[in-house]
This record gives sequence, C-alpha cells and structure tokens, in this order.
Amino acid sequence: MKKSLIAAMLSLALLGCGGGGGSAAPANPATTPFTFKLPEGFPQPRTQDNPLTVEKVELGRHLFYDRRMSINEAASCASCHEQRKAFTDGRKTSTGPTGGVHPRNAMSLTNVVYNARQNWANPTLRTLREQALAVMFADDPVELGWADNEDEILARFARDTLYQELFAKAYPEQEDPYTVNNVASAAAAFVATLISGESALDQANNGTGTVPPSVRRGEALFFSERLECFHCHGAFNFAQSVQHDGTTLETVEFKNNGLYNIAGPGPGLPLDNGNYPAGNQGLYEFTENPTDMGRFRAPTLRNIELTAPYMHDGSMASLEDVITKHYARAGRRINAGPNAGDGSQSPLKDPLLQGFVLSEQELDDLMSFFSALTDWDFVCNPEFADPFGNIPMHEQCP
Amino acid sequence: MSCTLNRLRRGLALVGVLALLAACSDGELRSGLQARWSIQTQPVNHDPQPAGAKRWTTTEGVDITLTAGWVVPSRADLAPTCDEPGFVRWDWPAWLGLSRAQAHIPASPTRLGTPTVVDLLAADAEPLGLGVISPLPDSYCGSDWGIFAADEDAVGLDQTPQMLGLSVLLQGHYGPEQTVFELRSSRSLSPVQRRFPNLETLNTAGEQLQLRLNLAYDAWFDGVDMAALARGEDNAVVQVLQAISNTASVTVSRHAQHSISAAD
Repeated sequence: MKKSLIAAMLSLALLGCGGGGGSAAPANPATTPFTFKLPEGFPQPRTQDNPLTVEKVELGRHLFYDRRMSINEAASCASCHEQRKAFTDGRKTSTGPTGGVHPRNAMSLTNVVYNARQNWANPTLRTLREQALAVMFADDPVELGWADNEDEILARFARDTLYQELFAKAYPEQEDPYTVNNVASAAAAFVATLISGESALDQANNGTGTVPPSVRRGEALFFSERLECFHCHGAFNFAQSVQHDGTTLETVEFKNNGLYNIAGPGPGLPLDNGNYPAGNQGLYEFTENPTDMGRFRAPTLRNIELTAPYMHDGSMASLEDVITKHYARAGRRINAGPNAGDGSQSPLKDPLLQGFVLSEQELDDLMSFFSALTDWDFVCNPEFADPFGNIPMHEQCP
Repeated sequence: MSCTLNRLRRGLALVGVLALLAACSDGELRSGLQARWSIQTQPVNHDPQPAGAKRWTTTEGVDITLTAGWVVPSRADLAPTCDEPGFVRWDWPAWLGLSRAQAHIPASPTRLGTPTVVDLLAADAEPLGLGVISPLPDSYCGSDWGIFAADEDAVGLDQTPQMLGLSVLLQGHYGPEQTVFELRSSRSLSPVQRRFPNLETLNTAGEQLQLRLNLAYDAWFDGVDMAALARGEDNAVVQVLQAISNTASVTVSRHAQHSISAAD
C-alpha cells in the first residue's frame, strides 16, 4: 500500500514538473467555458487548477466510461463509480482490472469538486486532477494500470476517430493532445460536474417540494447535539473539509470514529490499543503519527442511501447498522476475530462521539431523513450517463 | 465631537424615558419571572430511602443494590409550544413517549444549559437545585430535559472526576449471588419531554415555576436481563438507558414570590 502511494505521489510530482498538458492555459476561443448549473444555495466550485470547458467535460465523460482507460481494457472509472449507485460500486471494497483488491470502499463522486482533499485519508490529494492521476498510476493494487503503460494506453485514443475529434475539440491549441495530463484533466473536469443538490430535502427547503414530517423530525435529530451528526457532516454538502470559491480558510479534518480498537502491538498493529486493521489505517499511513491512527475524512451524506456498504472499508452493510451498531454506541464493538475490540473505548476516538439512545421511531425518522437526501435528478441525469450506453441506469430513472 | 456626544446623550435619554413609560404602562413592572429547576430520586414502587446505597426489587423479583450512581442532566428547556409529536402528554404512560431532538444552545432565557453531575445515592425525595432561569412572559406548555455526557464544565465534576465524558454511571450488584454490574455510558439519552397538565402562564412579576425532574431509579432495571447487563451487552445497556428517560416524570408547581408594583 505504502509503495503504491509513494509511486502515485512520485508520478504526481513528475507530472507537476513536466507539464505535458494545457490544463492551466488561458481559455482557447475555440472552446466553450463550462458554466455550472448550481442548485440554490450552492457556492461556486473552485476549478482554477483545471479550467472547465464544455469540450473537456465531454471528452472526460467518454474517458470516464471507456474501459480502454485500463491497461487490460477490463475496467473504466465507471466500474467503481456507477451513476445508479451515486457513483459508487456497491461492493465492500473495489477490485481493480487485474484482480487486485483495494482496501477501501469506493467513494461516491457526489459533489467531489467541493472536497478540500480527495480520497478517504490522503492529505496530499488536493484536486480532482491529482486524484485522477493517482487512480491512473496506482499499482498496489492496480486501479487502471497506467504506470509504465502510458504510451500504450494513449495510443488507443490517438488512433480512434471519436477521440481524435474529442481531443481536438478539448485541446485545440495542442498539436499532440494525447498526453497523460490531458486525460487526467478531462476526466477530472467531467467528475467536477457531478453536482447533486436537488434532493427531496433541498426541494422542500427551496419551496419547490415537500417532505413528510418524519423527514423533518429526522433532520432535527441529525442536527441535534444529542446525535452530533452535523459536526462532521454539515453545511450544504453534509461533509467536512469542503472548499469552494468563497473559501478563505482551508479546513481539512480527518477523524477517528471508533470503528476499530484493536489491541497491539503486533504485525501491522503498532500501538498498544486503538489500532485499525493493518494496511488500512487512515492518515497514520502518511504521517506515522500514532494520534492519526484510524483518522479518515468524513464524506458527503448526499445520496447516502444509494452508496451501501458503508465506512472506509465497506464493513457496515446498512445505514441502520451504521447508526445502531456504531454511532449510537459511540464506536463499533467487534467481539471476535483479528479485529476484535470495542471502538467506543478507543483512546483515539474523536471526543464528539459520545453515543446516544434512539427510539425505534427516531431511527425511522433518521432513515427518512437520509432517504430525503437522494437526488434522483442527479442519479438519472443523462448528462452524467454512459455515452456508450453500456451501463444501465437506476431502475427508478425514467 | 462634543456635538456628536450631546446628540448621543439626548438619544439615550429619550430611549430611557420611552422604556420607563413602557414599563409603567399598566402600573406594574414585569420583572422577576423565574423558573427554578431541580432534580430528585423518587422511587415509584418502593418507599423513599435515605442517603446511601439504594436497594429495591425489580418487577421480575430480582434484588438490586445500587452502590454508586450518577447521571448528568445537561440542559432543561421551558417550552412555549408542545405541538411537535415528541412531546409526551402529562398523563400518558411513559412507555408511549416518543422523543424530539433539539439543537443545543448553551443557555437562553428558556434554557438551563449547565450540566450537573447528580448523585443517585442522595436521599430520595430531596430535590437538588440545578439552577434558575428568567423566562420571558409567556405561556409554557411543557419542559424538555436532556441528559448528556459531562464535559469539563459540569457542576460537581470536581467531586466526581470519574464522570468526565459520561452521562450515566451505575454500579452495584444483584441477586442472591450479589453479582456485580456496572453500566458506564457516554450516550446522550432520549430527551425527557413532558407536557404540563395545564398551560402555565407567566406574566405577573415575581411568579415562579418550580420544575422538578423525578428519577424513578427503582424502575430502571425492570424487564432487564441482569446477567446481560453485567456482561455489558448493548441491548441490556440500551434498555436501561431508555428506561431512565421513559420512567422519569416532571413535577411543576408555581407560586408568586412578590409583586413589584409601580408604587414600590
């Protein structure tokens, strides 16, 4: 894992030094600047590092859904990020095109353009372009398998007439637009457009719809000091570590939520207690600071009902379990096996996690609230869909 | 500069006169409205006990001895509206109670926001004062109590440092074998929301509401698998924590301390 992260970071550094693309170049008059259709109350995303154009987004959409993006043409970005599942894959953890199993659950791409940091616990990935490169070049496990295979993969697009047109439109000022950076920038541009803010709750708050009283009761619970949910999943994106064009102070937070409390020391378990499973220890993998053990970023809760299973390792099957078996008791208890331990007793657990007692009615209300965060316009938006028509939409889509 | 100051002084004087006129308009100063909060242990199936270890028998016939116990009431609200479904009617059985959540604000004219560590081994039926608020003249229909984990500012924490980060701590033993149990929880409990039997209108100077939370500790372990509780099993722990809220009652009374008339 560490080896792959170092390789990915080296790749980023090399690309950062070597240029190779025109992402930061002034807008070309032959391209059309992309204008976000933002939901009410949403701030303008920060995309200065990768100015969006309609043409770049369209190229990115094709690349995102094209299995030729992987070394063996077995997987595309969409293999782990399906629109019908709010751009997750429904698996506990993802499997790469060469069979490598990723230790993490595929994150939703909902509103990722607002993330101050990408990924579950990587403090170095600031932009979507960097994230795209990390996915392309990861080698342990292989996610797309670009490392040492750049020329082969780029050549696939260079000889395809569809992509000849798409690349020429997206990067008209470049004689040879088939570069790693252009691919990453285009994919990132498309992902940046995946904005969700038209859920039932949004519509009710905007006065264009209604929600049943149970949703409002669940909302009151969610935003109460009793449950404390909103401290980590707050504001317009129900998330932490958010940035946008109006952000003046960057706040990046990673928190230990008491999902594990494994006794150590032992192989891969460096601490006396509070360990997370070896190979999946969050921010600690970057800092090796014991207090960073098990610290992960709180992701958005928008479309959360479509993104099961949950947590950074997909170890909780349902939202009810997340609430009743984990957060209500201020940390999950695992009774037996290599991960045994009571997360509520972890010395590294964030102090905001105190636990709570919920009645069945309250749990139902909370679930109603989560359901009201599903944005069917987003999940069914044809502009976000597979341009090749191979990946089915959600059954509820028209 | 002096001209500006003079204008400011004149303005302030005018505001003062207007305020005085407004206050005296019906011949009475509306000041001194108070709501005084207190808490006490109050068994519902047994006689009150003096300070010290508490002993009782559950509905299943299990003898319980509580050798140590604390809870941390952390906020108490006086509610001007009780329309939300969480509010329990005064005379409803406690088990019908649903809960309502409310974002916590440290304190307000209708909210006591001071967490206090309450010793359950104090003498029964002897109220411990939690604090006083000065609500606005209004009609109040109920109260809403929250039990949260004690933070560093909790009253009484200096005597009970072990309660830092905990909302409930119960220690004791049960049954003929005197099997030891301990319930140690940081969880926020379901709020105790109780509607007053009558709308309580506070509009006369010096009026006081006395609000008392009664903790029916002798009903907390009814129906609980004590062996499971002793093993720390979640279901049993949650059952007890729910019982703490569900069996609590609120007593409200009122009286006028004194009136302050304009003539005073």
